[in-house]
Amino acid sequence: MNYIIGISYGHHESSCTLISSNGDLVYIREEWLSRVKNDYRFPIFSLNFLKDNFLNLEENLISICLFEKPLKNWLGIGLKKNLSVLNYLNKLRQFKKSDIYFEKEIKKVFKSLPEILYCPHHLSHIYSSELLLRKNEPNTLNLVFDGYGEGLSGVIYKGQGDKIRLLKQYQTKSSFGLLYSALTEWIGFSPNEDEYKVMALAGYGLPIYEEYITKNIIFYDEENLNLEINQNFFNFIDSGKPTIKISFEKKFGRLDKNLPILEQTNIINVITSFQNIIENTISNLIKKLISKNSDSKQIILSGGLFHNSKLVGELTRRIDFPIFVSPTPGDAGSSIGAAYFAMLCNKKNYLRVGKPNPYIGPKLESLKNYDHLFKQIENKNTFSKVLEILNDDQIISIFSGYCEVGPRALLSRSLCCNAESKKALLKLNIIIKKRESFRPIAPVISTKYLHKFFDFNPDSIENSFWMGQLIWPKKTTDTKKMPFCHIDKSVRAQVYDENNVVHKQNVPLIIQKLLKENFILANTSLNIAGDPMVFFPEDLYINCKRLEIKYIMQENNLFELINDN
Amino acid sequence: MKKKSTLNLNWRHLSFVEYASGIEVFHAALFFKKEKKLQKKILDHALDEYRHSKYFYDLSKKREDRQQISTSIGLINIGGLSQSPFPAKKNKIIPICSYLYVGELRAIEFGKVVLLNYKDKEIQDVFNIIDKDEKNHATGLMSFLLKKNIFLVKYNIFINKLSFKFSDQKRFGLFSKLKTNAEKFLIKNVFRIFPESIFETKDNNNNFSEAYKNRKRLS
Repeated sequence: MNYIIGISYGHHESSCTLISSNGDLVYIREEWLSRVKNDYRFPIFSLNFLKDNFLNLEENLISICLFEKPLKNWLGIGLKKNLSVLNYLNKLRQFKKSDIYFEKEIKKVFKSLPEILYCPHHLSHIYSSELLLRKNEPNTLNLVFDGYGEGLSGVIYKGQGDKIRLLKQYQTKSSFGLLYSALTEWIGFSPNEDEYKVMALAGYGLPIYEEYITKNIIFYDEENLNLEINQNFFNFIDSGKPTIKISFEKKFGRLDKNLPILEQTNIINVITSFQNIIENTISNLIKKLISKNSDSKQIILSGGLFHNSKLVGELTRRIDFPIFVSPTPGDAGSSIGAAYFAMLCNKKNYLRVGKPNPYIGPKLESLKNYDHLFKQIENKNTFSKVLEILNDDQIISIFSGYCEVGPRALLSRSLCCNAESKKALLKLNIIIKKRESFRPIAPVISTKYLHKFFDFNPDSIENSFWMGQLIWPKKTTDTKKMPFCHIDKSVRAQVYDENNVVHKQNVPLIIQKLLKENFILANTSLNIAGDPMVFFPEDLYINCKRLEIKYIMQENNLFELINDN
Repeated sequence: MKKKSTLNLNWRHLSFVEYASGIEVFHAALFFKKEKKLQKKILDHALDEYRHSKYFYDLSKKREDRQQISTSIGLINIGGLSQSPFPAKKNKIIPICSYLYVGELRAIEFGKVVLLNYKDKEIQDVFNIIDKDEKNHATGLMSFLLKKNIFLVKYNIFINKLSFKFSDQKRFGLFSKLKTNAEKFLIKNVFRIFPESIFETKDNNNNFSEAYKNRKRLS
């Protein structure tokens, strides 16, 4: 048996991926084990977990691959003479903590060093998507947009595997990822963490600044597919200075910290305008790309920007072409691409052809071994008990099967309730999860329900298997009966396909039965807002206690939290 | 006892510190999978730490400007959460419990200073609750440790006190200030004399074969 490991760390969301010659593909996100949200440190917990769970890993490890070129990334931006002293100070500090010391870190875990490889940053993104989506098509167009990596903010490649070639690259000053982070910071949220909240807010405004932004801030040259963001409004280069410049605040104002965000109409209108411009620009860029590459039959999107499910939803509904986004398009998923690159370098092909599978995390431990924390509810008919709990507007947690690879809970580590009950939704969203009221909850729907009530691009529907895109109801659909719809009527649904083998294997049978009967489940991640998703049964205990959740479902068993207080 | 002028409380930071403690205690609980009763007690201890963090978070929301600190940076740089929080490997019960015990003693000491200096009722109430919890934890841990080899326990407590003191010095002491000044000097006077071209890298990732050729290079 041979093993290959891919690793990503150093910026945010570090992770590890193992590929074995047996065809195993296992992904672990460091935050699940360390319990630090967006943990960026070297994934020592994950590597030790792999060592504990894969026999003779160290002896049979042939390559370890990092997801980027660390020195190139460190040099990438911010080494010009006119930058601030603080920028250089940050650079110096980053150097000491950066992944340049990758080999040294590896030595802490493995006594004998295997072959150490470095995969270019954006290739890691592309390979990660290619491996997860398993859509073999030699002329695939790969579009990557993220914050920055190795001095670039985006690339376009054509091809797959070892037949891939660069078409275009974008510099940091045209970074839509950094633009979105800057807006996140501007409205008082944490950049590189809370971008999804900005996306949710965009649904509440009017795009009144679209014309101004197109003329003065975001420039798109359709002929050459060039992008540029006016650096008189933003600063993406000097880390010692604020990202938002005074001229931006002069034009668009500042957040009033004493007023609820939803009452600040102008701020929300700015957000909506930028979201729309990004959608229009990327949409036009893709259309042009398709027209220039008529031999291509699909587009695959990667990079942190495509976590924006509104953007992906708009692209798939506007463009009649197969467009796919991976379940984990950001840096966290890049360890998968790094492992795949190492496999290509070793001229191996360990992975069998299969369906896209977002459940490649480790299998969750059985709760039956934790009878000091959870009590199994003996019931002849667990299905009717689950139905009774849901119809009573109570919340049920699911801790079952294999962990989901991406940031979205896909009924492996989920909190669920009846999505058609306003009372249950309010309880789950505001009281239990304590999320901002402007953020909607995602439902899980069956393909039958989808076809009946929603418009969607059938070529790209797989993105909804992992909540990668928004969908919109048909004009004839009465959305009053759908309290899970967002303010703009969009829905970030997880679609369950009863004929899909991956769904059959990973979704608990009771939940499958509910979905087949057109029960709509609300689904959110099993964690306290701002914490990593649960991983150990001990985590589950802590989280259920803090969230005051009583019932837990695993496989087809129902458990109750032991509460001695 | 420290006077108020030297005690500059930042509620958000305290919230990170307590949260980091919760995570450390949680990791300790993972070492005791076979001792179920003890594990549950340790998990309940972790729950208390998370609750304390919430008290400080609520105080921060009421009394401070919302600070934009990402969770990971907050927990690691401010909360002081190290990657391997225990000076021990698996099944080393005494070092782990001693580490937690010293942490509790430090929290109790800190609480005393705050109670003496802050007369605001809300703050006093919060610290009184926390003080009671921390004392309970410390007593529980000590009574557990007393059943073990007392020399090993004393040795581990001593080592942990020393290492906490050293890490405080490293983070906030003179050494840290000197280091920052030295770095600034380096940047102003040395770093910027190099021509920019030194920092330019070649673009060598245009296709797979180039990436393959350079697969072992850091740039």
